[in-house]
Amino acid sequence: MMESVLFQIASALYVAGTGLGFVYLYNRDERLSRWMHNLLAVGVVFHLASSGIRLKHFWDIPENRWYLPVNSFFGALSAMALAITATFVVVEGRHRLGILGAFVLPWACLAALGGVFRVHSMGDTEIYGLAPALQSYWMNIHPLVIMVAYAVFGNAFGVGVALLVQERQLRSKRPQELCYRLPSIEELDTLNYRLVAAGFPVLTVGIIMGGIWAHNAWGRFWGWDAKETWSLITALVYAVFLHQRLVKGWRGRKAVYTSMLGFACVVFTFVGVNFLSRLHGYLSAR
Amino acid sequence: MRIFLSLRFNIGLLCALILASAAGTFLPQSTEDPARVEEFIAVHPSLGPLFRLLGLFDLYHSPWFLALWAVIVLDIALCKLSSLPGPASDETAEDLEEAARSRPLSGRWTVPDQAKAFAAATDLLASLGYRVRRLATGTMPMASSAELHGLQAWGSLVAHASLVAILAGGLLKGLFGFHEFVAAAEGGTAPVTGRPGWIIGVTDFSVERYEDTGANKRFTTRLAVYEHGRLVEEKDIRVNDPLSVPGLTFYQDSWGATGMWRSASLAWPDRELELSKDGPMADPESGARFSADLYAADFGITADGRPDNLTTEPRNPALRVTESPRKGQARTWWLLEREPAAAFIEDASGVLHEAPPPAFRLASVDPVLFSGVQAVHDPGYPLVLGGSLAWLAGMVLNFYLHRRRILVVALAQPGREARLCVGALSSRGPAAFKEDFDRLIARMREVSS
Repeated sequence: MMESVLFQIASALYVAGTGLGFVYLYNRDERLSRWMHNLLAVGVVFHLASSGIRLKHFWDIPENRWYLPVNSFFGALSAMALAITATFVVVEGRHRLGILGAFVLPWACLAALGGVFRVHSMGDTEIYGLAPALQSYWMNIHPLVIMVAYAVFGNAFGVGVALLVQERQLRSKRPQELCYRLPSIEELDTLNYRLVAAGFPVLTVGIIMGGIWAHNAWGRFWGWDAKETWSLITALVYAVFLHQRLVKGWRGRKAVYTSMLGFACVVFTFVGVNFLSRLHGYLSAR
Repeated sequence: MRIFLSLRFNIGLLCALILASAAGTFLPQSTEDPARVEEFIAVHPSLGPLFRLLGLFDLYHSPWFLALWAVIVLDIALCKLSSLPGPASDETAEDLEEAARSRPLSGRWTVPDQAKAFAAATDLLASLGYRVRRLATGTMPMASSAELHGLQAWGSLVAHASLVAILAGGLLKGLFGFHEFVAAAEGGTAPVTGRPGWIIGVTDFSVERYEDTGANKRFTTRLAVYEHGRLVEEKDIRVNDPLSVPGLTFYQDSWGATGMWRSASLAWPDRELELSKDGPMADPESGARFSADLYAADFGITADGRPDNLTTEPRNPALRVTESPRKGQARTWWLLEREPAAAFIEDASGVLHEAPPPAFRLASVDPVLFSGVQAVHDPGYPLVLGGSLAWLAGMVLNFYLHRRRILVVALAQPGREARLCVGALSSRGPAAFKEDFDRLIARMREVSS
């Protein structure tokens, strides 16, 4: 109960922070950016507290002891919201790019609100005992690594949207103030590339870890399960992006569209594939 | 050969792989669910046979899909062999000053003494961790190439080579390994057909379930492995905890009910009767004789009204019991353990008829379970594992190391002051190195003058 209350408070704070991010797009007041940052930080604290309670209840089931509670759709959504927000806070903190909040944070909000919706539709926060295959130390590594990659790609997607907006502004005859507040196309392009270049190795290593886990559990590294296949597709799309960028020097819109296609694959792999996958179906995780 | 080196062709291959892989997740696959494949063909009578012909129902093992992988491997090998890291072309250029100046980041200034300035500049680079190499240019001009994180240049090669290794590992398993599902009942044995003379024995099997959800908590098999009758190894195996013997590993995969039972009992309001596998048991009260034969773990009824076992999991356990009263005809009942109010009578042709429940019910039934084990011989796995580690190394080298190459050229100009010319390249592009390069040039100017 307390877990879901704290999670909902965190979600509300993320939504409020994102709202401030949108206001900050059109209002130069720096206090808005600071407040956005503060709301997100407090949201992360509430989220961590909620996760702490979740962990305690999860570990009350002896088979779950020492494993992370990401074996349910709510658990995955909650971890995803936390990962995207935390990645944004780190990137924003390093590059002073609060202006990108409006482009990146909606994904964290969507994941958090998806979690809230899931709690209301299921009636609880989905704490179940782990299936035998999930009782492995890989449970603490493989999903976490994959989620970090997804969060980084989520941030890259937001940066890509900002780049498209900026490009549109520059092409228009009467650019709005937003044009002068967003980073330059060159900076956004470089940031988009650097985020993808950071996320791609993490994703592929996460996929390989999944393969090693599957080999330990069932004696096969790769089984063409829908989730495995779609994560491979995601990696291939980002590989196309990196090859085009590094070899052919793709910049700007073309590169961003490819990166966005990659993120569409991420979203499908995270949500859509649950309806196709037997092994990784969160929606039938009971 | 040229086509393999074309980026457009490479991207085309990746796109073909993406589309083919995606198609396989939407079409039913015979390796996963053969019944759904047949259903698809029945619903799509024109497309279905065509898809079957194209191998789309076993897409990931179809010849064209495997051929696509083979072309990708060949493509990677050719591309990487044609672009092995080597010295930059401008380091062997005749006009070294021009080579330095043409780099995306460059600086040029006059210095009082050519040799001293050159030594100071290269010493500075060395002190910053650069690997400095004097270029063989004779005496004039003096030139050095300095490099930081030069290993980065190998990252792409290592990563691509590791992909080839991983795929080769998969190929090795396909050619020389095997993967076989072996099921044995509790107390029984089953042969490993891929290894003649080898059998597994399930000495004991236990399963635990979560009380709240009924999902599997843990299942354990006491597995014995025999080679030509000789016990090779015995161990409790679980999912994630297999048994390995030289050349073969046994993984706990699944479990279910065999259709046999160990013990069962019928109950009346005032008494119970234990059934026997060896023959009918008489109920002393009524004088009727009872026997049981078939057990269905997940009882269901087919469209033509016959008994069916939907899965091997005991979701709706039922037992076929024959009641032979002292007078009258014998009746064959299907009794459901969890639904005592439901009962079916099976006629001589095997068709079920719903019937009012008899005076007795199925009180308990203890089924004989089977343990499903994957017997695997995978000679390619070490290659896959090594390739995976190499991939990790390649990714780290390629994306997390920042390779910087600096060309320093000192020129003596007759009758004029000497000149120092510095040009730089960065694996992350000029923008990522500009700030550091400007600072470096400032320090070089300081030490060289």
